[in-house]
Amino acid sequence: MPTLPSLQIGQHTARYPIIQGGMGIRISGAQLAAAVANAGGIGIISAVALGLNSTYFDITQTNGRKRREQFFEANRLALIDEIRAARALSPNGILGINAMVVAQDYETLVRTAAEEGVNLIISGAGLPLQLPSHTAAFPEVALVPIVSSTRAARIMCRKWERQYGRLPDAFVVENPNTAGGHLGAKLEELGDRALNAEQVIPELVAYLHQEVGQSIPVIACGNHWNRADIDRMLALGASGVQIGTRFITTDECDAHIRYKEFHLHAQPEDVVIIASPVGMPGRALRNAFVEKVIADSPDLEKRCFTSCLHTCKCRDEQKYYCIIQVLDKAARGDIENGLVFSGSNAGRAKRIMPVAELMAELVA
Amino acid sequence: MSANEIFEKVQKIVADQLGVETSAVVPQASFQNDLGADSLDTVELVMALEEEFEIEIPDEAAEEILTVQSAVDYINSKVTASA
Repeated sequence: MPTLPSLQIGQHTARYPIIQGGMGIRISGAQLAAAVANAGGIGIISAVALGLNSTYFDITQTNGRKRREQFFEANRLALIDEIRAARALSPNGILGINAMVVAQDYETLVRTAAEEGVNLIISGAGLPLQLPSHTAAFPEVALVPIVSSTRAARIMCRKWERQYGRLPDAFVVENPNTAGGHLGAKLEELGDRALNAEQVIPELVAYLHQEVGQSIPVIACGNHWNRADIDRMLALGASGVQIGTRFITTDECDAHIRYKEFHLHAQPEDVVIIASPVGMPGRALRNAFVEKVIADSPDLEKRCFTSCLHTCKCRDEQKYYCIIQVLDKAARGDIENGLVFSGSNAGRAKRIMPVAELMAELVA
Repeated sequence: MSANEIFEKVQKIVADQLGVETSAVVPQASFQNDLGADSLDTVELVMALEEEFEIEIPDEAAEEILTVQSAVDYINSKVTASA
């Protein structure tokens, strides 16, 4: 098997074209990101709501205003801790964060990450139209929007070029038909073949080459499990892949062991699509919580906890459920009452393994 | 440029961008609720208006432009101010 090519994003070159996808809350933290970076990939810390499970936040605080203030400050301080911990574990690896545009403290988090010296920022859950203005003082930080269509990528290029005189350093292209977590498509669009990598990757690569005239790497995301999947994406014109779910069943994944074991023992038919208060569908593993969401059970917690998102149907319309509380529960090991996000590949892992071993297998 | 001229130009751009009949682009029409614009359409529309009228619409202002009339009003204030 020929050696996989390296992956250059902005000023940073990873030995292997593999990005470990950001997974929140606290599924991909310092341990996982550093292990991937040390193995020659790009390690990504999910920057979402890190304060919730940190010493900076008092979860029993009953005053709503005080709780919100403390929450956002805790998020910032916990992100600094997480980035420094990852950097201590991987002094020379390529490390980044994933930040959601829809988060209220998005600007603070991306600015903090840039100040703390991350190599790249991957950003989705909304178009990161203003991201360059938040990191303007740190030109060495590579900026990578997540899109699911050529059209969204074109809008990003035009907007950034016009307003900031620069282009994205790469694009992560999520396939909503297979990726885990929140999906960049409407519920009724899921299943449409036009969203698949086979359609979008060649089209976007051609657009960037012919109309933008720059070699901007395109990273495919969704449904990648092994070397053959990586080779298939490279053949379509991608420069690399982003892999999330497969990194959950590793020793270094930052989630509770029960979360990893739940993934390990899942079956493909356990992967379901559920509604999320963020306003996008999400791909997750079936459990007691998901059954309640599907049944729209009155038992679901609909009280807003910290007003963590710009748009939230739980806070604004009392619909669905409070998402940060259920994501936090799952990461802490309550896999029945928490939300366990997953890509379509759940159930394929045979055991929990060290990241170095997994990376060696992926590149062999 | 008169407010009426601005409206007619906006009407044409909106119809082109969103693929709707010009007659549907009435002042009170909401881009998202009445004309079927999604979040990408909205960004593209604002960029098209910036190009056509040679103005800059900051993101905070763009978030407030939800109807045809609000677009016309914003452009009118900009074009008049610079004239």
